[in-house]
Parts: sequence; C-alpha cells; structure tokens
Amino acid sequence: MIFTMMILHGMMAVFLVGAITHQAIGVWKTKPVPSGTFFQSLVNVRGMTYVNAIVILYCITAILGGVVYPFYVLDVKGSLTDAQMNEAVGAFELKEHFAIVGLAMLPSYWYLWKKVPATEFRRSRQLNTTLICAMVWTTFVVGHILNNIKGVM
Amino acid sequence: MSRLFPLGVFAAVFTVIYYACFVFSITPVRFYPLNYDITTADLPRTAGPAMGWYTWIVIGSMSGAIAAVVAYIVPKNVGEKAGAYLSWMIPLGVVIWMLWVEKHWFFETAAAQ
Repeated sequence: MIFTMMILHGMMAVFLVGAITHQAIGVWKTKPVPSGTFFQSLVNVRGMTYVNAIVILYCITAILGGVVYPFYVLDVKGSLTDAQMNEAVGAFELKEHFAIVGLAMLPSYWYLWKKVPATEFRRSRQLNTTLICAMVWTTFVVGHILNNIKGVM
Repeated sequence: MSRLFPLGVFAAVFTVIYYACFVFSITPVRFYPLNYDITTADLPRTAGPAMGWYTWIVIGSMSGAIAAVVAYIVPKNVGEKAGAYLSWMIPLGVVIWMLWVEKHWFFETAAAQ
C-alpha cells in the first residue's frame, strides 16, 4: 500500500513540476513571440489553462505526501540521524515547510489567474507563480534525493 | 467587498502561524505514528517519534481562515492592491525565515548541534 502511495506521490509530482514550470516560464513573457522554435512555443504557453490542473495536482500530491510522511519518520529519518546525515534531514525539514507555503498560496494564486484581468496585478501573478514553482521544484528534488539515499521500503 | 485581500491575508497568516508553531514548539496535539496514537500527552520514548506537522497545518490554516473572514469586510478599492502584494511578499519572507532557521543543518558540524 505504501509502495503504491509513494509511486502515486512521485507521479503526481512529475505532472505538477511539468505544468507549473511551463506556466512559470510563460508568465514572464512581456511581448508576443512567434511559435517557431521549441523555446518560443514554451514561452507562448497559455498559463490560464494550467491553473485548475496545477491546484488539483498540488493538493493531491500534498495529501499523498502527508499520507507517506509517517513512514518516512519511522523508517528513514532515524536512519539518517544515526548516520549523521544532517544535510539530508535538514533538506526534508525544508521540504515539509515549503510544501505548506505553496499550499497556503494556492487560493490567491488561483484568484490572480482566474478572476483578475490579465492586465492587472501582473507582477503579483508572476511572483505567485514563480514562488510556487520554486517550492514545487525544491520539494520534488529533495524528495527524489532522499528516496535515493534511503527509500521507505 | 474585497476578494483578493482576504486570500492574500490567508496566505500570509497561514504561513506565519504555521512556521511560528514549528519554531516555538506549539504542538498541543501530537501524532505518534508507531502506534497511531493521537494525544495531547507527551508519551515516553517507547511510543516512538512524535509528529507535530499535521497540528501546525491545522492551526495555521484555521488561523488563516479566521483572518481571511475578518479581512473580507475591507472595501475592494482599499484591499485589492494590498492583497496582491500580501499574497507573495509574506510567504517569501517566511521562506527566508525558514532558510535562516534551518541553516544549522547545513552549516554547523554535528558536534556543534
């Protein structure tokens, strides 16, 4: 059961990283760009179409993370502490906190994208999206590194 | 009625209260995953490690929700711009606070801890 949860958590995180990264790149576009190359297409992504998917993926990933967290505390954290791998333990502490920062920002993030006209509060929309993207990438990378050091199985 | 302001207040209050609970060890309810105990008591070491994360999330989110309800009465013309800034400035500040508090894991020796 925990194995399935871990795999699902990881898969949802992959989808989330892809979606939020596309959106975070596109939100900084300042002028129209032709879609000739890969990078131009990347910048031209319509960020608003990603919002609901990102919110749902974030919530599912966070809930699954919350479900597997006790197994990390029981099976992994003690081993890392005994091995004096302080950086790994600290990285996970940051991961658990960053995930909550992103979660708290989701309502305002959603509102800025869905309810505020695109010409208003542009900088706040950019910074909300970029900060959530940074949280997602950090938690994603830390999770994978820790799983490589010692998985919950 | 302002809409963005309450959501900015929610993000700000949630993140600040959540992390303050962690930093100041405000954990009225603990979860002991070894035996699935949820208790306000401080159980002995044989009960295994205690978790406060879920408690901090509940306290932070409830505080944020209450603050957001109060902030809902702020007129739209006053609150919208403030809400837009609150929604990312305070969380960013909390992230910097987190990095500062947690730096000991990365920059201090095991002996110093």
